[in-house]
Amino acid sequence: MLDTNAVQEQLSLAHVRAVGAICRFSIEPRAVDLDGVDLSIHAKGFLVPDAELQSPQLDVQAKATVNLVEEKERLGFDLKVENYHRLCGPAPYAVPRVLVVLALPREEPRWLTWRPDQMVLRRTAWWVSLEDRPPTTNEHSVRVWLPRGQHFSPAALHEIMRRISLGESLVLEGSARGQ
Amino acid sequence: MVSDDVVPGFQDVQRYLAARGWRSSLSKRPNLAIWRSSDEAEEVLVPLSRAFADYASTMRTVATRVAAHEQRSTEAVLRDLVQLQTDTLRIGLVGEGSRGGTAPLSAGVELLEAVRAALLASACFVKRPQRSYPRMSFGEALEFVQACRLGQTEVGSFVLSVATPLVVASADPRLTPHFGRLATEAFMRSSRLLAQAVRAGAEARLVDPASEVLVSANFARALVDMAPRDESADLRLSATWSPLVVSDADASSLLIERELFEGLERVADQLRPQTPVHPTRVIAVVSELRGVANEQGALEGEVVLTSLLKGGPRRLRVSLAAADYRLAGQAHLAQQVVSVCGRVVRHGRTVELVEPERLVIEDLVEPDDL
Repeated sequence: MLDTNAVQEQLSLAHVRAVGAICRFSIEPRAVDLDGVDLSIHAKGFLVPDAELQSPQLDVQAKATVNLVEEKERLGFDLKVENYHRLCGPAPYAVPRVLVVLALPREEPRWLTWRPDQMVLRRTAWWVSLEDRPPTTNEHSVRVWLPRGQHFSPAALHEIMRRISLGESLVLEGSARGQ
Repeated sequence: MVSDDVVPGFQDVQRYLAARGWRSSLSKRPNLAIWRSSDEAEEVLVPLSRAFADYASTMRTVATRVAAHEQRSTEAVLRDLVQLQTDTLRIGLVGEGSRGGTAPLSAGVELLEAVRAALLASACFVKRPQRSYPRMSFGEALEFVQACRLGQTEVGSFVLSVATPLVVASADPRLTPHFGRLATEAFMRSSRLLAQAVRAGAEARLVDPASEVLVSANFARALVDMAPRDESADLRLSATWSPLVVSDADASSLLIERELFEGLERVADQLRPQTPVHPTRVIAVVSELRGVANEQGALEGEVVLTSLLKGGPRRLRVSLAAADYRLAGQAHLAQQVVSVCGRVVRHGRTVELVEPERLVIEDLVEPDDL
Protein backbone atom coordinates (compact mmCIF):
# COMPACT_ATOMS: atom_id res chain seq x y z
CA MET A 1 0.00 0.00 0.00
CA LEU A 2 1.19 3.50 -0.73
CA ASP A 3 1.85 5.78 2.19
CA THR A 4 0.22 9.20 2.36
CA ASN A 5 3.15 11.02 0.79
CA ALA A 6 3.23 8.62 -2.14
CA VAL A 7 -0.51 9.07 -2.70
CA GLN A 8 -0.06 12.85 -2.73
CA GLU A 9 2.83 12.53 -5.18
CA GLN A 10 0.79 10.35 -7.53
CA LEU A 11 -2.11 12.80 -7.42
CA SER A 12 0.19 15.68 -8.31
CA LEU A 13 1.56 13.70 -11.28
CA ALA A 14 -1.98 12.82 -12.32
CA HIS A 15 -2.92 16.48 -12.24
CA VAL A 16 0.01 17.46 -14.48
CA ARG A 17 -0.72 14.55 -16.83
CA ALA A 18 -4.38 15.49 -17.08
CA VAL A 19 -3.63 19.12 -17.88
CA GLY A 20 -0.95 18.12 -20.41
CA ALA A 21 -3.22 15.60 -22.09
CA ILE A 22 -6.11 18.01 -22.49
CA CYS A 23 -3.64 20.37 -24.20
CA ARG A 24 -2.68 17.45 -26.50
CA PHE A 25 0.92 17.59 -25.39
CA SER A 26 2.87 14.39 -24.87
CA ILE A 27 4.09 13.53 -21.39
CA GLU A 28 7.21 11.51 -20.67
CA PRO A 29 8.00 10.28 -17.17
CA ARG A 30 11.57 10.70 -15.98
CA ALA A 31 13.58 8.94 -13.30
CA VAL A 32 13.20 11.22 -10.28
CA ASP A 33 16.68 10.59 -8.97
CA LEU A 34 18.21 11.43 -12.37
CA ASP A 35 18.03 15.19 -12.01
CA GLY A 36 14.94 16.09 -10.05
CA VAL A 37 12.51 16.09 -12.97
CA ASP A 38 9.35 14.00 -12.66
CA LEU A 39 7.82 14.61 -16.08
CA SER A 40 8.72 16.21 -19.38
CA ILE A 41 5.99 17.82 -21.44
CA HIS A 42 6.52 17.99 -25.20
CA ALA A 43 4.61 19.84 -27.87
CA LYS A 44 5.05 18.98 -31.52
CA GLY A 45 4.45 21.51 -34.25
CA PHE A 46 4.64 25.28 -34.16
CA LEU A 47 2.34 26.70 -31.50
CA VAL A 48 2.66 30.22 -32.89
CA PRO A 49 3.75 31.37 -36.35
CA ASP A 50 6.90 33.19 -35.25
CA ALA A 51 8.14 30.51 -32.85
CA GLU A 52 11.81 29.60 -32.89
CA LEU A 53 11.09 26.11 -31.55
CA GLN A 54 8.67 23.72 -33.14
CA SER A 55 9.14 21.12 -30.39
CA PRO A 56 9.17 23.02 -27.10
CA GLN A 57 9.78 21.00 -23.97
CA LEU A 58 9.04 21.74 -20.33
CA ASP A 59 10.48 19.79 -17.41
CA VAL A 60 8.29 19.55 -14.33
CA GLN A 61 8.91 18.72 -10.72
CA ALA A 62 5.52 17.94 -9.21
CA LYS A 63 4.59 18.12 -5.52
CA ALA A 64 1.40 17.99 -3.49
CA THR A 65 0.62 19.31 -0.04
CA VAL A 66 -2.19 19.96 2.43
CA ASN A 67 -0.13 22.68 4.10
CA LEU A 68 0.14 25.57 1.65
CA VAL A 69 0.84 28.82 3.45
CA GLU A 70 -1.77 31.15 2.05
CA GLU A 71 -1.17 34.88 1.72
CA LYS A 72 -3.14 37.36 -0.30
CA GLU A 73 -0.92 37.39 -3.41
CA ARG A 74 1.05 34.25 -2.96
CA LEU A 75 1.19 30.74 -1.60
CA GLY A 76 4.10 29.35 0.39
CA PHE A 77 5.40 25.80 0.06
CA ASP A 78 8.28 24.26 2.00
CA LEU A 79 10.45 22.45 -0.55
CA LYS A 80 13.28 20.13 0.41
CA VAL A 81 16.67 21.74 -0.19
CA GLU A 82 17.74 18.87 -2.43
CA ASN A 83 14.74 19.44 -4.70
CA TYR A 84 15.14 23.21 -4.58
CA HIS A 85 18.71 22.97 -5.83
CA ARG A 86 17.47 21.07 -8.86
CA LEU A 87 15.22 23.96 -9.80
CA CYS A 88 17.13 27.10 -8.89
CA GLY A 89 20.02 28.99 -10.51
CA PRO A 90 22.58 30.22 -10.99
CA ALA A 91 23.38 27.62 -13.66
CA PRO A 92 20.80 27.96 -16.42
CA TYR A 93 18.67 25.11 -17.74
CA ALA A 94 18.59 24.36 -21.45
CA VAL A 95 15.10 22.93 -21.01
CA PRO A 96 13.04 25.25 -18.83
CA ARG A 97 11.79 23.62 -15.67
CA VAL A 98 9.08 24.55 -13.21
CA LEU A 99 7.77 23.45 -9.88
CA VAL A 100 4.10 22.49 -9.85
CA VAL A 101 2.44 22.23 -6.44
CA LEU A 102 -0.97 20.65 -6.04
CA ALA A 103 -2.87 21.96 -3.04
CA LEU A 104 -4.98 19.20 -1.51
CA PRO A 105 -7.81 19.59 1.01
CA ARG A 106 -6.81 18.80 4.57
CA GLU A 107 -9.34 15.97 4.73
CA GLU A 108 -7.98 13.00 2.82
CA PRO A 109 -11.42 11.64 1.75
CA ARG A 110 -11.93 14.85 -0.22
CA TRP A 111 -8.76 14.55 -2.25
CA LEU A 112 -10.51 12.57 -4.91
CA THR A 113 -14.19 11.77 -5.07
CA TRP A 114 -15.99 9.67 -7.56
CA ARG A 115 -19.58 9.42 -8.73
CA PRO A 116 -21.01 7.61 -11.71
CA ASP A 117 -21.06 10.84 -13.68
CA GLN A 118 -17.88 12.53 -12.49
CA MET A 119 -14.53 12.16 -10.80
CA VAL A 120 -13.18 15.20 -8.97
CA LEU A 121 -9.56 15.81 -8.00
CA ARG A 122 -9.40 18.66 -5.46
CA ARG A 123 -8.19 21.49 -5.18
CA THR A 124 -5.85 22.89 -7.80
CA ALA A 125 -2.20 23.39 -8.64
CA TRP A 126 0.09 26.37 -9.06
CA TRP A 127 3.40 26.65 -10.86
CA VAL A 128 6.54 28.70 -10.53
CA SER A 129 9.95 28.93 -12.19
CA LEU A 130 12.81 29.21 -9.73
CA GLU A 131 15.57 29.62 -12.32
CA ASP A 132 16.37 33.12 -11.08
CA ARG A 133 16.55 32.06 -7.44
CA PRO A 134 19.95 31.66 -5.78
CA PRO A 135 21.11 28.48 -4.03
CA THR A 136 20.28 28.29 -0.36
CA THR A 137 22.34 27.55 2.71
CA ASN A 138 19.29 26.15 4.52
CA GLU A 139 19.75 22.62 5.81
CA HIS A 140 16.39 20.98 5.27
CA SER A 141 13.88 23.04 3.35
CA VAL A 142 13.28 26.33 1.59
CA ARG A 143 9.97 28.18 1.54
CA VAL A 144 9.15 28.93 -2.08
CA TRP A 145 6.34 31.25 -3.05
CA LEU A 146 3.92 30.56 -5.86
CA PRO A 147 2.09 33.59 -7.29
CA ARG A 148 -1.60 33.10 -6.66
CA GLY A 149 -2.33 33.97 -10.27
CA GLN A 150 -0.16 31.18 -11.67
CA HIS A 151 -2.62 28.30 -11.74
CA PHE A 152 -1.38 25.24 -13.55
CA SER A 153 -4.36 25.14 -15.87
CA PRO A 154 -4.63 24.09 -19.52
CA ALA A 155 -4.57 27.74 -20.57
CA ALA A 156 -1.54 28.40 -18.40
CA LEU A 157 0.31 25.39 -19.78
CA HIS A 158 -0.44 26.54 -23.33
CA GLU A 159 0.99 29.94 -22.45
CA ILE A 160 4.08 28.37 -20.87
CA MET A 161 4.75 26.28 -23.97
CA ARG A 162 4.13 29.29 -26.19
CA ARG A 163 6.71 31.29 -24.27
CA ILE A 164 9.22 28.45 -24.49
CA SER A 165 8.69 28.12 -28.22
CA LEU A 166 9.40 31.85 -28.56
CA GLY A 167 12.59 31.59 -26.49
CA GLU A 168 11.08 33.68 -23.70
CA SER A 169 11.74 33.35 -19.99
CA LEU A 170 9.25 31.74 -17.63
CA VAL A 171 10.35 33.99 -14.80
CA LEU A 172 7.56 36.56 -14.74
CA GLU A 173 8.37 40.12 -13.81
CA GLY A 174 6.67 41.64 -10.84
CA SER A 175 5.09 38.45 -9.63
CA ALA A 176 4.60 37.92 -5.94
CA ARG A 177 7.65 35.77 -5.42
CA GLY A 178 10.60 35.83 -3.17
CA GLN A 179 12.21 33.46 -0.80
CA MET B 1 26.49 -0.17 -23.93
CA VAL B 2 27.33 3.47 -23.45
CA SER B 3 27.59 4.50 -19.84
CA ASP B 4 25.20 7.12 -18.48
CA ASP B 5 28.33 9.04 -17.50
CA VAL B 6 29.33 9.47 -21.11
CA VAL B 7 28.11 12.82 -22.31
CA PRO B 8 28.92 14.01 -25.82
CA GLY B 9 30.55 17.38 -26.35
CA PHE B 10 28.37 20.05 -27.94
CA GLN B 11 30.89 20.68 -30.70
CA ASP B 12 30.87 17.04 -31.70
CA VAL B 13 27.08 16.97 -31.60
CA GLN B 14 26.97 19.96 -33.94
CA ARG B 15 29.53 18.38 -36.29
CA TYR B 16 27.47 15.21 -36.33
CA LEU B 17 24.23 17.02 -37.12
CA ALA B 18 25.87 19.17 -39.80
CA ALA B 19 27.37 16.07 -41.42
CA ARG B 20 23.88 14.54 -41.54
CA GLY B 21 22.38 17.56 -43.25
CA TRP B 22 20.71 19.18 -40.23
CA ARG B 23 20.53 22.97 -40.23
CA SER B 24 21.04 25.24 -37.26
CA SER B 25 19.82 28.55 -35.97
CA LEU B 26 20.56 30.35 -32.75
CA SER B 27 17.97 30.62 -30.03
CA LYS B 28 17.08 33.96 -28.49
CA ARG B 29 18.19 32.34 -25.25
CA PRO B 30 21.94 32.52 -24.76
CA ASN B 31 24.19 29.57 -25.63
CA LEU B 32 21.51 27.45 -27.23
CA ALA B 33 21.31 26.30 -30.82
CA ILE B 34 18.25 24.90 -32.53
CA TRP B 35 18.98 22.18 -35.08
CA ARG B 36 16.39 20.91 -37.53
CA SER B 37 16.64 17.86 -39.78
CA SER B 38 16.72 18.51 -43.52
CA ASP B 39 13.14 17.22 -43.85
CA GLU B 40 12.09 19.53 -40.98
CA ALA B 41 10.54 16.53 -39.25
CA GLU B 42 12.73 16.65 -36.16
CA GLU B 43 14.22 19.38 -34.02
CA VAL B 44 16.70 19.32 -31.17
CA LEU B 45 17.92 21.97 -28.77
CA VAL B 46 21.69 21.83 -28.32
CA PRO B 47 23.32 23.57 -25.34
CA LEU B 48 26.49 25.35 -26.45
CA SER B 49 28.03 25.29 -22.99
CA ARG B 50 28.58 22.66 -20.35
CA ALA B 51 27.53 25.25 -17.78
CA PHE B 52 23.88 24.29 -18.21
CA ALA B 53 22.69 22.42 -15.14
CA ASP B 54 20.79 19.97 -17.35
CA TYR B 55 23.52 19.60 -19.99
CA ALA B 56 23.72 15.81 -19.68
CA SER B 57 19.98 15.13 -19.76
CA THR B 58 19.52 17.56 -22.65
CA MET B 59 22.22 15.79 -24.65
CA ARG B 60 20.54 12.48 -23.93
CA THR B 61 17.30 13.93 -25.27
CA VAL B 62 19.20 15.06 -28.37
CA ALA B 63 20.54 11.54 -28.86
CA THR B 64 17.08 10.05 -28.35
CA ARG B 65 15.46 12.33 -30.91
CA VAL B 66 18.25 11.87 -33.46
CA ALA B 67 18.03 8.10 -32.93
CA ALA B 68 14.29 8.17 -33.56
CA HIS B 69 14.84 10.20 -36.71
CA GLU B 70 17.54 7.83 -37.95
CA GLN B 71 15.61 4.76 -36.79
CA ARG B 72 18.58 3.62 -34.73
CA SER B 73 19.05 2.95 -31.04
CA THR B 74 19.88 5.82 -28.70
CA GLU B 75 22.93 3.83 -27.56
CA ALA B 76 24.27 3.62 -31.11
CA VAL B 77 23.83 7.35 -31.68
CA LEU B 78 25.43 8.18 -28.32
CA ARG B 79 28.39 5.97 -29.17
CA ASP B 80 28.83 7.79 -32.49
CA LEU B 81 28.56 11.16 -30.75
CA VAL B 82 31.22 10.45 -28.14
CA GLN B 83 33.59 8.85 -30.67
CA LEU B 84 32.96 11.25 -33.49
CA GLN B 85 36.58 11.75 -34.47
CA THR B 86 37.25 8.04 -34.72
CA ASP B 87 36.19 4.97 -36.61
CA THR B 88 35.73 1.79 -34.63
CA LEU B 89 37.21 -1.55 -35.57
CA ARG B 90 35.86 -4.67 -33.90
CA ILE B 91 37.79 -7.89 -33.94
CA GLY B 92 35.70 -10.73 -32.57
CA LEU B 93 36.42 -14.36 -31.79
CA VAL B 94 33.25 -16.24 -32.61
CA GLY B 95 33.13 -19.72 -31.13
CA GLU B 96 32.19 -21.88 -28.18
CA GLY B 97 35.33 -20.95 -26.24
CA SER B 98 34.56 -17.23 -26.31
CA ARG B 99 30.78 -17.39 -25.97
CA GLY B 100 30.91 -15.97 -22.48
CA GLY B 101 32.74 -12.89 -23.74
CA THR B 102 36.12 -13.97 -22.44
CA ALA B 103 39.30 -15.39 -23.93
CA PRO B 104 42.49 -16.76 -22.37
CA LEU B 105 44.71 -13.90 -21.29
CA SER B 106 47.68 -15.00 -23.39
CA ALA B 107 45.43 -15.42 -26.45
CA GLY B 108 44.09 -11.94 -25.87
CA VAL B 109 47.59 -10.50 -25.67
CA GLU B 110 48.57 -12.24 -28.90
CA LEU B 111 45.43 -11.00 -30.62
CA LEU B 112 46.14 -7.45 -29.51
CA GLU B 113 49.67 -7.63 -30.82
CA ALA B 114 48.46 -9.01 -34.14
CA VAL B 115 45.83 -6.27 -34.46
CA ARG B 116 48.44 -3.65 -33.70
CA ALA B 117 50.73 -5.07 -36.40
CA ALA B 118 47.84 -5.17 -38.89
CA LEU B 119 46.96 -1.55 -38.16
CA LEU B 120 50.59 -0.52 -38.62
CA ALA B 121 50.83 -2.45 -41.89
CA SER B 122 47.58 -0.84 -43.08
CA ALA B 123 48.87 2.63 -42.28
CA CYS B 124 52.16 1.90 -44.08
CA PHE B 125 50.09 0.80 -47.06
CA VAL B 126 48.34 4.17 -47.12
CA LYS B 127 51.67 5.96 -46.97
CA ARG B 128 53.24 3.84 -49.69
CA PRO B 129 51.50 0.77 -51.12
CA GLN B 130 54.02 -2.00 -51.55
CA ARG B 131 54.35 -5.73 -51.17
CA SER B 132 56.40 -5.74 -48.02
CA TYR B 133 57.82 -3.37 -45.45
CA PRO B 134 61.11 -4.40 -43.88
CA ARG B 135 60.70 -2.03 -40.94
CA MET B 136 57.21 -0.41 -41.02
CA SER B 137 58.67 2.82 -39.67
CA PHE B 138 56.81 5.59 -41.51
CA GLY B 139 56.19 8.42 -39.08
CA GLU B 140 52.53 8.85 -40.01
CA ALA B 141 51.90 5.13 -39.64
CA LEU B 142 53.51 5.00 -36.22
CA GLU B 143 51.57 8.08 -35.14
CA PHE B 144 48.34 6.50 -36.34
CA VAL B 145 48.90 3.37 -34.28
CA GLN B 146 49.96 5.48 -31.31
CA ALA B 147 46.66 7.36 -31.48
CA CYS B 148 44.50 4.23 -31.67
CA ARG B 149 42.57 3.56 -28.46
CA LEU B 150 41.48 0.28 -27.04
CA GLY B 151 37.75 0.44 -26.38
CA GLN B 152 35.53 -1.39 -23.96
CA THR B 153 34.99 -5.05 -24.72
CA GLU B 154 31.50 -5.76 -25.93
CA VAL B 155 28.77 -8.16 -24.98
CA GLY B 156 28.55 -11.45 -26.85
CA SER B 157 31.57 -13.34 -28.07
CA PHE B 158 34.98 -11.94 -27.23
CA VAL B 159 35.25 -8.66 -29.13
CA LEU B 160 38.20 -6.31 -29.16
CA SER B 161 37.16 -2.80 -29.97
CA VAL B 162 39.72 -0.31 -31.29
CA ALA B 163 38.94 3.35 -31.92
CA THR B 164 41.06 4.50 -34.84
CA PRO B 165 41.53 8.23 -35.41
CA LEU B 166 40.28 9.84 -38.59
CA VAL B 167 43.13 12.29 -38.77
CA VAL B 168 46.87 11.96 -38.16
CA ALA B 169 48.58 15.24 -37.46
CA SER B 170 51.81 14.52 -39.31
CA ALA B 171 50.08 13.38 -42.51
CA ASP B 172 49.96 15.92 -45.31
CA PRO B 173 46.39 17.26 -45.16
CA ARG B 174 46.44 18.12 -48.87
CA LEU B 175 47.25 14.55 -49.87
CA THR B 176 45.55 12.55 -47.16
CA PRO B 177 43.24 14.71 -45.04
CA HIS B 178 41.86 11.58 -43.40
CA PHE B 179 44.92 9.40 -43.21
CA GLY B 180 43.49 7.38 -40.32
CA ARG B 181 40.25 6.65 -42.18
CA LEU B 182 42.26 5.41 -45.17
CA ALA B 183 44.31 3.16 -42.90
CA THR B 184 41.20 1.66 -41.31
CA GLU B 185 39.65 1.14 -44.74
CA ALA B 186 42.90 -0.51 -45.88
CA PHE B 187 42.62 -2.85 -42.88
CA MET B 188 39.16 -3.97 -43.91
CA ARG B 189 39.93 -4.05 -47.64
CA SER B 190 43.10 -6.14 -47.25
CA SER B 191 41.28 -8.55 -44.95
CA ARG B 192 38.49 -8.94 -47.47
CA LEU B 193 40.88 -9.43 -50.41
CA LEU B 194 42.80 -12.10 -48.54
CA ALA B 195 39.70 -13.95 -47.38
CA GLN B 196 38.06 -13.77 -50.79
CA ALA B 197 41.18 -15.04 -52.57
CA VAL B 198 41.54 -18.02 -50.25
CA ARG B 199 37.83 -18.78 -50.29
CA ALA B 200 37.84 -18.76 -54.10
CA GLY B 201 41.07 -20.73 -54.36
CA ALA B 202 42.58 -17.76 -56.15
CA GLU B 203 45.58 -17.22 -53.93
CA ALA B 204 47.87 -16.88 -56.95
CA ARG B 205 46.12 -13.64 -57.80
CA LEU B 206 47.50 -12.10 -54.63
CA VAL B 207 50.98 -13.59 -54.60
CA ASP B 208 51.73 -13.00 -58.30
CA PRO B 209 54.26 -10.13 -58.34
CA ALA B 210 52.63 -8.79 -61.50
CA SER B 211 49.17 -8.75 -59.93
CA GLU B 212 47.35 -5.46 -59.74
CA VAL B 213 45.77 -6.56 -56.48
CA LEU B 214 48.20 -5.60 -53.78
CA VAL B 215 48.22 -6.77 -50.19
CA SER B 216 51.30 -6.40 -48.05
CA ALA B 217 53.07 -9.41 -46.65
CA ASN B 218 53.12 -7.68 -43.28
CA PHE B 219 49.34 -7.36 -43.20
CA ALA B 220 48.84 -10.94 -44.35
CA ARG B 221 51.12 -12.20 -41.57
CA ALA B 222 49.32 -10.07 -38.98
CA LEU B 223 45.95 -11.40 -40.13
CA VAL B 224 47.23 -14.97 -39.81
CA ASP B 225 48.38 -14.14 -36.30
CA MET B 226 44.80 -13.12 -35.44
CA ALA B 227 43.70 -16.74 -35.97
CA PRO B 228 41.71 -17.80 -32.91
CA ARG B 229 43.51 -20.34 -30.79
CA ASP B 230 40.19 -22.02 -30.20
CA GLU B 231 40.01 -24.51 -33.08
CA SER B 232 36.25 -24.10 -33.32
CA ALA B 233 36.27 -20.31 -33.54
CA ASP B 234 35.99 -17.97 -36.49
CA LEU B 235 37.22 -14.40 -36.70
CA ARG B 236 34.78 -11.58 -37.32
CA LEU B 237 36.00 -8.15 -38.38
CA SER B 238 33.77 -5.14 -38.60
CA ALA B 239 34.11 -1.39 -38.82
CA THR B 240 31.82 1.44 -37.82
CA TRP B 241 32.61 4.63 -39.63
CA SER B 242 32.52 8.09 -38.12
CA PRO B 243 29.61 10.01 -39.63
CA LEU B 244 31.94 12.98 -40.18
CA VAL B 245 33.48 11.42 -43.29
CA VAL B 246 31.64 9.33 -45.85
CA SER B 247 33.36 5.97 -46.19
CA ASP B 248 34.27 4.45 -49.55
CA ALA B 249 34.61 1.02 -47.97
CA ASP B 250 32.59 -1.55 -49.89
CA ALA B 251 32.16 -3.79 -46.87
CA SER B 252 32.09 -3.04 -43.17
CA SER B 253 31.80 -6.57 -41.86
CA LEU B 254 33.66 -9.74 -42.67
CA LEU B 255 33.65 -13.27 -41.29
CA ILE B 256 36.87 -15.23 -41.71
CA GLU B 257 36.04 -18.85 -41.12
CA ARG B 258 38.49 -20.98 -39.22
CA GLU B 259 39.26 -23.18 -42.23
CA LEU B 260 40.51 -20.20 -44.23
CA PHE B 261 43.52 -19.65 -42.02
CA GLU B 262 45.53 -22.50 -43.51
CA GLY B 263 45.24 -20.84 -46.92
CA LEU B 264 45.93 -17.42 -45.43
CA GLU B 265 49.10 -18.84 -43.92
CA ARG B 266 50.23 -20.03 -47.36
CA VAL B 267 49.54 -16.61 -48.86
CA ALA B 268 51.42 -14.88 -46.08
CA ASP B 269 54.42 -17.17 -46.57
CA GLN B 270 54.41 -16.61 -50.31
CA LEU B 271 54.06 -12.86 -50.02
CA ARG B 272 57.06 -12.69 -47.70
CA PRO B 273 60.23 -11.63 -49.49
CA GLN B 274 62.28 -14.72 -50.25
CA THR B 275 65.54 -13.36 -48.98
CA PRO B 276 68.07 -15.79 -47.55
CA VAL B 277 67.93 -16.03 -43.79
CA HIS B 278 71.40 -15.33 -42.44
CA PRO B 279 72.60 -16.72 -39.16
CA THR B 280 72.16 -14.37 -36.30
CA ARG B 281 73.20 -14.25 -32.69
CA VAL B 282 70.35 -14.29 -30.24
CA ILE B 283 70.64 -13.19 -26.63
CA ALA B 284 67.96 -14.72 -24.47
CA VAL B 285 66.88 -16.17 -21.19
CA VAL B 286 65.92 -19.83 -21.00
CA SER B 287 62.19 -19.93 -20.28
CA GLU B 288 61.32 -23.60 -20.61
CA LEU B 289 63.19 -26.91 -20.87
CA ARG B 290 61.18 -29.50 -22.78
CA GLY B 291 63.89 -32.04 -23.57
CA VAL B 292 63.79 -35.79 -23.10
CA ALA B 293 66.53 -38.27 -22.23
CA ASN B 294 68.51 -39.74 -25.17
CA GLU B 295 69.86 -43.25 -25.40
CA GLN B 296 72.77 -42.31 -23.15
CA GLY B 297 70.43 -40.90 -20.56
CA ALA B 298 71.39 -37.28 -21.21
CA LEU B 299 68.69 -34.72 -21.74
CA GLU B 300 68.40 -33.03 -25.14
CA GLY B 301 65.72 -31.49 -27.31
CA GLU B 302 63.46 -28.48 -27.30
CA VAL B 303 64.15 -25.38 -25.26
CA VAL B 304 62.05 -22.22 -25.27
CA LEU B 305 64.05 -19.01 -25.19
CA THR B 306 62.77 -15.54 -24.58
CA SER B 307 64.93 -13.28 -26.66
CA LEU B 308 65.91 -9.84 -25.56
CA LEU B 309 66.28 -8.44 -29.03
CA LYS B 310 64.83 -5.14 -30.15
CA GLY B 311 61.07 -5.10 -30.40
CA GLY B 312 60.55 -6.52 -26.93
CA PRO B 313 60.55 -10.06 -25.56
CA ARG B 314 59.94 -12.78 -28.15
CA ARG B 315 59.65 -16.48 -27.55
CA LEU B 316 61.50 -18.80 -29.89
CA ARG B 317 62.04 -22.53 -29.89
CA VAL B 318 65.37 -24.19 -30.41
CA SER B 319 66.31 -27.84 -30.44
CA LEU B 320 69.58 -28.44 -28.58
CA ALA B 321 71.97 -31.37 -28.45
CA ALA B 322 72.90 -32.76 -25.03
CA ALA B 323 75.93 -30.52 -24.36
CA ASP B 324 74.14 -27.30 -25.20
CA TYR B 325 71.01 -28.52 -23.43
CA ARG B 326 73.05 -28.98 -20.27
CA LEU B 327 74.33 -25.41 -20.53
CA ALA B 328 70.81 -24.15 -21.12
CA GLY B 329 69.70 -26.02 -18.01
CA GLN B 330 72.45 -24.41 -15.95
CA ALA B 331 71.52 -20.97 -17.24
CA HIS B 332 67.85 -21.62 -16.49
CA LEU B 333 68.56 -22.62 -12.91
CA ALA B 334 70.96 -19.74 -12.32
CA GLN B 335 68.74 -17.29 -14.20
CA GLN B 336 71.61 -16.40 -16.46
CA VAL B 337 71.49 -15.06 -19.99
CA VAL B 338 72.67 -17.19 -22.92
CA SER B 339 73.68 -16.34 -26.45
CA VAL B 340 73.31 -18.70 -29.34
CA CYS B 341 73.81 -18.40 -33.09
CA GLY B 342 71.35 -19.73 -35.66
CA ARG B 343 68.83 -18.80 -38.32
CA VAL B 344 65.50 -17.38 -37.17
CA VAL B 345 62.67 -19.05 -39.09
CA ARG B 346 59.00 -18.46 -38.62
CA HIS B 347 56.28 -21.12 -38.92
CA GLY B 348 52.95 -19.47 -38.44
CA ARG B 349 52.79 -18.29 -34.85
CA THR B 350 55.94 -20.13 -33.94
CA VAL B 351 59.41 -18.70 -34.26
CA GLU B 352 62.24 -21.21 -34.38
CA LEU B 353 66.00 -20.86 -34.21
CA VAL B 354 67.38 -23.52 -36.54
CA GLU B 355 70.92 -24.82 -36.84
CA PRO B 356 71.90 -23.55 -33.40
CA GLU B 357 75.57 -23.39 -32.55
CA ARG B 358 77.98 -21.74 -30.14
CA LEU B 359 75.59 -21.58 -27.17
CA VAL B 360 77.34 -19.90 -24.27
CA ILE B 361 76.28 -18.55 -20.90
CA GLU B 362 76.94 -14.84 -20.99
CA ASP B 363 78.83 -13.34 -18.12
CA LEU B 364 76.82 -10.15 -17.94
CA VAL B 365 77.79 -7.44 -15.51
CA GLU B 366 74.96 -6.67 -13.12
CA PRO B 367 74.34 -2.98 -12.42
CA ASP B 368 75.18 -3.60 -8.76
CA ASP B 369 78.67 -4.69 -9.77
CA LEU B 370 79.48 -1.44 -11.50
